This record gives sequence, C-alpha cells and structure tokens, in this order.
Amino acid sequence: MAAEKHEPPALSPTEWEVMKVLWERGPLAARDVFAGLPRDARGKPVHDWAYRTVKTLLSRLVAKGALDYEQVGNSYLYRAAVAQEAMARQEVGGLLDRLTSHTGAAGRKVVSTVLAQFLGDAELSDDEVRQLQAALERNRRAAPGKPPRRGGRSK
Amino acid sequence: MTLEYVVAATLEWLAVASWQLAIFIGLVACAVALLRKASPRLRHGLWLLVFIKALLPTTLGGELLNAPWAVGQWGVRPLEQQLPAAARQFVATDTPVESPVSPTPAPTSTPATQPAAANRVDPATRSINPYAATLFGLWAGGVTTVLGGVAIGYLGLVREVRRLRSVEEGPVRIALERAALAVGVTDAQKIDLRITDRPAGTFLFGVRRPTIVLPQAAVDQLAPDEILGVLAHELVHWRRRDTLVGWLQAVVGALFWFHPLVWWASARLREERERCCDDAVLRHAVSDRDTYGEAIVRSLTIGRGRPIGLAKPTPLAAAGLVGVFERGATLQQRLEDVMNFRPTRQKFGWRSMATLVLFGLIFLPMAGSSLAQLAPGDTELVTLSLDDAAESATRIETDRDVKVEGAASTRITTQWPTTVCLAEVEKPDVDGTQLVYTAQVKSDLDQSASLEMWAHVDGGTYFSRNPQVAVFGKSDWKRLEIPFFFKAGQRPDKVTLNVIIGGPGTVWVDDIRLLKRPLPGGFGAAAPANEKLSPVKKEVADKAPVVETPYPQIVESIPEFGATDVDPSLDTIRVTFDRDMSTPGMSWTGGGEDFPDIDKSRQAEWIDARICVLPVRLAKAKFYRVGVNSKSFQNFKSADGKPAEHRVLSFATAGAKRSVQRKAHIPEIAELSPANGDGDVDPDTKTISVTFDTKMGGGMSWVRTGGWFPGAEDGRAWWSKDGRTCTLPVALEPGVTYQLSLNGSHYVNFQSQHGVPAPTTVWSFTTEAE
Repeated sequence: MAAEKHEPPALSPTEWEVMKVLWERGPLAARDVFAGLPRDARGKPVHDWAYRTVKTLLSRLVAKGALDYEQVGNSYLYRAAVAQEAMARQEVGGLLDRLTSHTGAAGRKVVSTVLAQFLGDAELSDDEVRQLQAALERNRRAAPGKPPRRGGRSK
Repeated sequence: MTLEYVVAATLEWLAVASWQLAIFIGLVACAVALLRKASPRLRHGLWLLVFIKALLPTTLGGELLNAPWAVGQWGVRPLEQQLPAAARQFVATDTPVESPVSPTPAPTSTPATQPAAANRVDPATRSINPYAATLFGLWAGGVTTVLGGVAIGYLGLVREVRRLRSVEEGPVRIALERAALAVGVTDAQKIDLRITDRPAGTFLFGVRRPTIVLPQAAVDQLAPDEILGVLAHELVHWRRRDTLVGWLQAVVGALFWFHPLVWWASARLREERERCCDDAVLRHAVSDRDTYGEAIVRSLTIGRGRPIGLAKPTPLAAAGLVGVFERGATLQQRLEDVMNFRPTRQKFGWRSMATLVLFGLIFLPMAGSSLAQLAPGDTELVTLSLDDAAESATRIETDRDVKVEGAASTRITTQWPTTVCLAEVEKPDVDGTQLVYTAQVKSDLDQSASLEMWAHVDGGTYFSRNPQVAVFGKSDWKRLEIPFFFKAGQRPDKVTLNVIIGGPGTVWVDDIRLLKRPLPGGFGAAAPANEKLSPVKKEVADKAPVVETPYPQIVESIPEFGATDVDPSLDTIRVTFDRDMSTPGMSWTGGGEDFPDIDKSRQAEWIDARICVLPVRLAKAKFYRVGVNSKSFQNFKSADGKPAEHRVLSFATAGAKRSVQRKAHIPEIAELSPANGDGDVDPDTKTISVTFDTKMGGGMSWVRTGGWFPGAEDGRAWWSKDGRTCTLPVALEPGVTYQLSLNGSHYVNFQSQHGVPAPTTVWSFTTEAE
C-alpha cells in the first residue's frame, strides 16, 4: 500500500526524529528505526520512547504520506516517501511564510537579516557558496527591480 | 448518621428525584421532537442533561426557586407522618422536654425565668417504618443487582479483550492513523487496536486506556474506505469520551433501575450518540455516504447482530463501551440520516450551544431550598412549606370594625400560644421612674392574653409580665397594665412591648400607651394575692393544707416530692391534680441525665380527668428530676384552660448515697429576717433576708402579692457567699404591713443548686408606727 504523493506533509518534532533515521539509514524495519534513534554520550536513548510508540509513529507517518512500506514476511519495511531536502524546504518555507505574511517591507527586512545571520554562522564549502551565488543571480534576473520573493519554497 | 435517617432521606430523595426526572425527561423529549432537524449533538446534549440532572441535588434552585416553581415533592409524605403511631402520638400530644432549669440571677425588678427551651423528642422514640424499610431494601437490592451485572459483564469483557491480538503496525493500524488524521483526533497513539477472530461488532472500550476491537472478518471483508469509516466512527466516540458517558448512564440506570423513563432516556442517548459519530465521520468526508452506510450494515452482519460479540451479550456489559451500532437502535432511521446527510445542515454552532445552555439553566433547577436535604444528624419532625401564610398559624391584621379609639385596632389570630411584638421604643426617658405599659385588649380565646415588656438595660435584657393581669376567654375590651421599675442611673436602650396569647383564638389590641410614673417604693411582678401564707419554717409544700387557687395544683404524686427511697421498679410517675384537667395535653418537662428514661413501649396518658402517668424506667441509686409544666410549656391545664402551677418532682431511688439523696432535697427556709408575721419591725431596717437550709442555685423570685412590697428603689438583691442567704435592700415606712412571696405559682427561681425549687412562701411583716 503506497501513499499518494502530494505536497510533503507537515511533521511534528517527534516525527522528524523518526524520519531522520530513515533518511540516514534507508529502508528499515520498526525495530531498526527504534535502535537507530539518537543516543547520548553514554549510549542512552535521547527520547524516552517505547517501541510501541515508534511503531505508532511509523504508522502515522505512512498515513501522512511521508513514508512508504512493504510487508516482508511478518514484518514491515519502511522507507521515506519524500526527500529530506523537499521536507526541509517545506519546513523553512513555512517558517518564512509565518515570519513575512502580512508584514510587508518590515517582514522582508527581518528575513534578509535572519538569512544574513544564518549564512554568517553557517560553515559552507566553496561549492555551496557558489550554488548560493548562482541562486541569487537567478532570482535577480527573473525579477529585475523587484524584491526577492518572500519564501524559499520551490515550485 | 443513623440507619433510619439514611432510609428516610434516601427514599425521600428517590421520590423527589423520580418525579423531577419524569418531568425533565418529558421536557427533553418534547424539545428533541421539536429539534429533530437540528444537530444530533444538540439532541445528544439534551438527553445527556437527563443523566446529569439525576445526580444533581433536587433543590438546585436555591432560594430563588420556591413555590410555585418547586416541583417534585408530590406524593412524598412529611417525615412526621412516617413515624410509628406511638411515636407520632408522642409528638402530637405536645409533650415537651425542657432543659434542666438552672437558677439564673434575676434582675431585682423582675421575677427571673428561663428562656424557652427547644421542643425535643428523643430520637430513640422513633423507629424505621416497616414499609419504608421494605422499599429501601428493594431499591438497594435492585441497585446491587444492576451494578453487579455491570461489573461482572465489564470484568468479563476486560479478560476477553486482554486475550486479543494487539495491532501496532501494518495496514489496519495505518488505516486507524489515517482515520485519526481525517477526523482530527490528535491522541490516537493512546489507542490500543485489537483484532478478534470471533464474530463481533467493532467497538471502543475503556476510558483511560482506550481499546478499539475490530473483528478479523471486517478486516477481510470490508473495503479500505469502509474500514476507514468504521475506525473513524470509533475515533469520534473516543474524542467525545462517550465511554465516560456510558458509565454515567450505568450509574444513573442502577440508581433508578425502577424508573422506565430513565431506561428509555438511556436508549435515546445511545441513539443520538451514534448519530453524532455518523455526522462527524461524514462531515470530515472520511467516507462517502453510500460507503459509510454500507459499512454500518456490513458491521452488523459481520457481528451477527450483536454489538459486542465477546463474553455474554448482556446489555449491562455495554456500560464501558460504544460500538458502531447499539443494541435496540433504530437502524433504518439511522441509515436514512446517513443517506440524507448534507454537510451544510445540522451544524452544532453557537445557536445550538445557546439552546442547550438555556434549556439547562431553565429546567435543571426544579426546586429550591424549601426542599432542602437534612444535614447529617438532623431529624426532621414536621415540614411546613409555608405556601399558605395560614400555616404559620398567626395572622396580624387591621380591624376597622372592632376598636376603642382611632380608626382601627390590631387583630391577632393564632392557632396556638404565641407572643407578638407590637412595638419597640428606643431610649425612653425613664431614669429612676416606673415605666408603665398599658393597652386595651379584647379576646375571644380558649386561654388568656396578657402584656409583656422587655427592657434592654446596661447590656442585660429583663422583662416584666403578669399572667394574672390578663383577659380570659371571651372578654370585652379591658385595659391591662404592667409596670417596669428603673432605678436612678438605669436608662433602657430599648423597650419592647409584646402581647402574650396563651392559646388559639383572636385578640384585639388597641390604644397602647407607654407611661412614666413615679416609683411607688416597690417593684416586681404581681403574684396571686391568695398564695399560701406560711410560717418561717413551713412544711414541704405538697404536705401543706391545700388552698383553693385559681390554677390547678398537684395534690398527690407518686413518688412523693423529695422522696429518697423510691423503688427502682416503679414504672410510672403519677401526678394527681386538684381539679379536672384538659386532656390529652400534658407537659412533662426537664431533660438531661436527671430526666428518667421514658419507657417507649407505653404511652404517657391520662388515667382519668385528674391523674396523669408517665411511663419510665428507673435505675438504682439515682437522682431524678421531672418538671410539671414550665415557663414555656404549659399543657397541664385545667378543663377551663388555666395552666397548672410549675412544679419540679425531685426524688432519688433506693440505694442512693447521701450525696445523691441530698440532690432531691426540697429547700426549706431556715430563717426569715424579719420573721414572718413580725409586728414591730424597725422602719429603719435597710435589708430583709431569707436563709435556706441548703446551698441554692443563685436565682431568685421575689414576687409581689398585691400588698405593699418592701423593695427599695435602688436595691439589688444579693446572695451570701455560702449561697444560702439572699438579701434584699428595702425602704420601709412606719406602720405599714408589707407582703411578698418567695417563689410563686409560675416563678420558681429560688431553687437548690440541683434545680429543686423551694415551696412558695408568702412573707408578711409590719413596721412599728411612729
């Protein structure tokens, strides 16, 4: 049973944790997802989740369309149905939308300030810096004389 | 809290609540019929109010909702009428029991008396009405059966469900999560999903740890959209906490197991609950109408018509679960609703909420505090709703036809003895003078009517009254007058003017005047002039020759007054009066540990017109004290309505120690100064005194007899330290015969420390001429 592929769904922080395991490690059974959850320096799970909770989260993620699954024998193998990049773009886009909606020029200034701060703090490789420059250039050419679009969502 | 209290209070509550519930269910049924096109949530809310109402107090209306809004008391007899006949008669004969009279220091200007004690009946004289006990037993048995059935069914279900396979992942669990997302249930992770291989309906079970049970046949036979609809239905049940409502229904159903309308309302609530879930599933477009309707029918066939399918299919087990369909539900109507669903209609908006709140506010409180429940420990004897002012027995009206002056008089009509306050006067200027309260009084009574005046002086409250200055029976206008004496420096803050009415009938009062009059040199209330004269050391009163008095006297008693060797096997106390008495009225007064235990198997009764007996159970070596009439209770009265003298029958049973015997001793006068009958008393004498042979209680009754009273204007009597001698300041004049009485027929505050009054003694002496 595969989920229909629409716009990536909004995820809760707990669901993000599960998704990150699957993005990093590829298709996994529920038990492996449970084992792959982040641990602290002493090897203790960061989250106090029961195995049953993880299985429920996986079912919910399938229901949301964020995961696909297939039955293998008596167990189920889960894999991400949306790319991490698309999900991240969706989340950031949502954030920027919330920051700038109905605030006009002031909101856009806030966004540009936050972005500049973010870029200043980020450790970017030369290649990543070139990609960013190219993206900015494309944006300027696409809408000369207009301010950059509000969100970072890609169509 | 006694068993009899629990039985009576429970039955009364059940009766009142049953009436109220019947009315409320009728109102809800009418409202639901009118709102059949409204949101099912509104109709469900209305039916839910029935079960909330059942557990609310029956007097929710508080003081705002008394008659005519107060409903539900119909057919419920006052508790007094549920008493056994013997106990009822005990109450009806008005046999009061008064606290032991403890002597109270009296103000010098009045004979001191005790305030009226509350009427009291020994709770032990009451027993449980056998019919009430049977009814209570039946009800309690029904409650136990129903609750037991619910508990057994529920525990059986718990065991069955625990054996089922839990589904934590896979297509069915994903369908559950999908349904949860569709209907907006955010805590679906709490829900345990279990599969049964037996034919069963789909149902939600549990309040804190919810479980949805789904038959394997449904998984195999239903289409994915149908499963989604079925699971969404159960999730809506969870979101609405319908299993909690199921328990509420179970509790109310158990308490009112005998009430068919409650069961009917319960079935209607279950129906509306299902419609609410159908409405929510279709409103969230989880399934289309056809698919969802089909899912309901297929769930019915898969469960082979049984909502549960597990354990025994008893309806009592349904308390803690809700399913896709309910036993006894009108399936056709429900499917019609599903097929005709329009998302734009039947919304539960603010209008529905307002309707529900308004309905609850108007109809939930059906009665007010007039039906208030008894506090633990209280025992209700009589209920007076006072819906009719005539119940309060006393009416005060203006009478323009009967008057002696002005335009009208005040007419007082009463059904029993009462005291009516006619006026209060603030700060009258009466320093060092006599205040006289006078009024014209006319009567049409069985008893008498007299005046009474209360004065609030220096933080104390004193009164003046004279029962002999009164109108008796049917009397034309007569001017009555009572005085109050104020010493120099005594200024009353307030004076209250009352009329005392001794029994049922009508009294007219007119032309009240409050006068200031110079002090005559005497004070105190008057006593009958024909009190017995006695020597300094007289015999005990009951042994003295009987003098004819205007009021009934006791001429013989068993045991004798002051007896100290009474046989404990004596089982009745008997008093014989000197004339025919008014039967069956009687006032045996007293209380506390000195009052004998009443033999409840027999009744206090009149043997003939003059002899009255009180059945008792006496103990060995004990002191007893029984009053005959008192200030407040005067139902020992002659056939022509005159209250008998106030006496205290004191005695000790055989074997008592001397200290106990001494309690029964009737105080005797050891010395009078000047001596009774002394003919040459020095007019310069400043005090007179009486010495008793035993320590006294501290009260005193210096009573006027009609002769010259020797009290000084500013004199206040006092007791010696040994409590035996009482001294009264006097202001004597030469060549005058003075007379006063120590105690009187109705004033007996010269009492021993154990509450035994001294016999009435008239004291007379003459001063030397100049």
